[in-house]
Amino acid sequence: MRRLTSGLFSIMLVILLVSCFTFATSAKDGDAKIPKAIQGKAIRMALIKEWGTGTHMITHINGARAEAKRYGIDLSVVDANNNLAKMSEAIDNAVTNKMDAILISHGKADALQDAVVRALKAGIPIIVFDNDFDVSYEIHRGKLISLDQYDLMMGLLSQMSLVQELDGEGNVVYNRVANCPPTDKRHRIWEGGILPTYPGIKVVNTIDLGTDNPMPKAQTALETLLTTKSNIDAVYAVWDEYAKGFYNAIVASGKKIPLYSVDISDQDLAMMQEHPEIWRSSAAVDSTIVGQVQIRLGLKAIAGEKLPRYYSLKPVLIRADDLPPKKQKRVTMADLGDYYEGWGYTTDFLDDWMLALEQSLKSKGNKK
Amino acid sequence: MGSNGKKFDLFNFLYKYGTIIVILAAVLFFSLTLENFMNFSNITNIFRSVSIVALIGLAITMSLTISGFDLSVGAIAGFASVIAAKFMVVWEMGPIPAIIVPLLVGILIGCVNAFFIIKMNIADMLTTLSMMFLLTGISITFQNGSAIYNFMPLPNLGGIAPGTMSKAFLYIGQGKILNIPVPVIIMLVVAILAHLFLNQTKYGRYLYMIGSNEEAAKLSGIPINRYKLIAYMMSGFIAALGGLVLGARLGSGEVNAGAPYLMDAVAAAYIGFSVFGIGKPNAFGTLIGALLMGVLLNGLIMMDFPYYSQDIVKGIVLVLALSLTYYKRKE
Repeated sequence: MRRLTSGLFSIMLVILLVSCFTFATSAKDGDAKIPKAIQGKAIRMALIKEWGTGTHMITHINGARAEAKRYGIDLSVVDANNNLAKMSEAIDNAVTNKMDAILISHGKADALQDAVVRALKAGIPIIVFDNDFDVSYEIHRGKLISLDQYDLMMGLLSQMSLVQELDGEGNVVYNRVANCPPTDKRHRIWEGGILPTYPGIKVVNTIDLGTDNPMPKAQTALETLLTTKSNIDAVYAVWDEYAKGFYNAIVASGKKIPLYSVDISDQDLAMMQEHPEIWRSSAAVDSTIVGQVQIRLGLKAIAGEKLPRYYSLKPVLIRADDLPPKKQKRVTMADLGDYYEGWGYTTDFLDDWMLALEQSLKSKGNKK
Repeated sequence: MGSNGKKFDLFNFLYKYGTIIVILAAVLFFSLTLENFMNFSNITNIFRSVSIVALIGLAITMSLTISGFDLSVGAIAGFASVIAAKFMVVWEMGPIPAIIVPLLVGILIGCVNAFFIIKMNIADMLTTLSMMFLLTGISITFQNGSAIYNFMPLPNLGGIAPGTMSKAFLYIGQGKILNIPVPVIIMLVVAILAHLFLNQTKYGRYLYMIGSNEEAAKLSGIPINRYKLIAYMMSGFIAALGGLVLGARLGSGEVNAGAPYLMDAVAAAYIGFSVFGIGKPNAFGTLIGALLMGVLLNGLIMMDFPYYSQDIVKGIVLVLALSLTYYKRKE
């Protein structure tokens, strides 16, 4: 009995000491109080991606890594290499390894549903980008957040850019990629918004070649149309992988047909600067920001804060006319912050306590 | 069955000319329904659009002659295009090393394939399947996960890439001689050379003998391992050449760009079996097989058909061609 009391007493003492210490440090770091669930804990997150290649996805990984480093989070990145079974396995592994949060990018909902439910039942928050899961509140308890690049808005921005430059009239080669959530959202704006509103815009052909390496196929398809049809006024690409092939076909044809698209990469920018009269604009979200926001949402979820079920990141319309001439400067994605607000860094979901956490880690690092 | 010369044998006729008839029928149909189908620039377009599939198909044909199978050809083509792009864009080299090195790499990969197939006795399909994965991975690593293109920013804040894809190199994919696209000329030259090699030389006859009966070929004193090595080396070489055309057409070294060509090339080579009722892999047939698919795809795109319908058409053509070939063999 005596032993038990002394044991209890010592535990209480420890708790008291720890809380005093916590209080002391947080007071030192300013008014922002780092949540208990985060304070002094080694936080581990997993970023599980359907694929990790291409500028867009590499920028995403780098954005997440840099943001994780700020808060001392141990982030492990899994590239499933387009293998959905591997993706779902990686989610299960993250649950087994008791990760504090799981960040997902892309994937097909059906293939991952079971693994995601298992993770949520284990109380692990899931922040998913460009995908969504149908899970009831009883299971996710507010710890499932779906991010997207605001595809509806990107569709609208890019398609309005086309409408404006054509003065609302012209024959368009349109591109859609069916059965792919982000491109489907972009298409809904075209079908339900643009075409009924601007009846002068006519679709002469629709190119859809699926999602598997479409660039060379898109190039061949548009070459065919450019040599057999003389009445094409503009080309729309619902995804920049297609736009690259379209761009090659237009340049090779020697014609001056404007091209409008969604998404951006360093390669797209190089092409846009090479022929600003062809590739006119592209609506995009910086994937660095996707990484930043995923990490912050992960932290907030661990801290037990109330979070939105859906969030859309703000897109930017990148126009060839806004960029400097190629002789002056070759623009990359990293430079776009100089030309557009909301590129490279966002303050979305950035709390004072995160800055305090970053500060406390810095001062700790200095002491060492 | 066919011994009675007077009686018109429909099956034999179809067997020999079925593929050609389908092409002619498709051309006739499209030129009647689509006004610009038969103009010169669209015809060159069709030829150009099939050049890469045809070259990679010819590479597979080489391995098929010895009854082997090279699944790595698509990956070899992709890797070749990436090497060429990296040489010119990142390492600022001229077009000559950017053409020669990928071709040598193609031959080398053929040798490695042959080594595992001959010396290690691994089934050809499995060896080349492993090679396909290996090459895709190496190639993505080699390009740091992103495409290689003019004025790309280098990794680790290395500034903008100093070199560009040379004009001479791009000529392989985009140039024209007497209004005929260079890729078409390359495709036709390779097809003719491969045809002559397979049918007019001792080497070609030996390759076919090994393919039809390896044991008999061995007994008649043919050094079968050496000929297998030759077949895989040629397969690697032609695939790499196809990769150079691909890279020059795209103007960049794209991630995994060769992969989508593999299955179309396999289909072209197998459709080729049935052309003129030859019943075995042959260069001319592969060319016709690629053209047949090219004509159908071109027409379907002009008619605004969705892409899965193209796959349906490809599948039907392939299964018809295979039925002709294999039904005949059964007899």
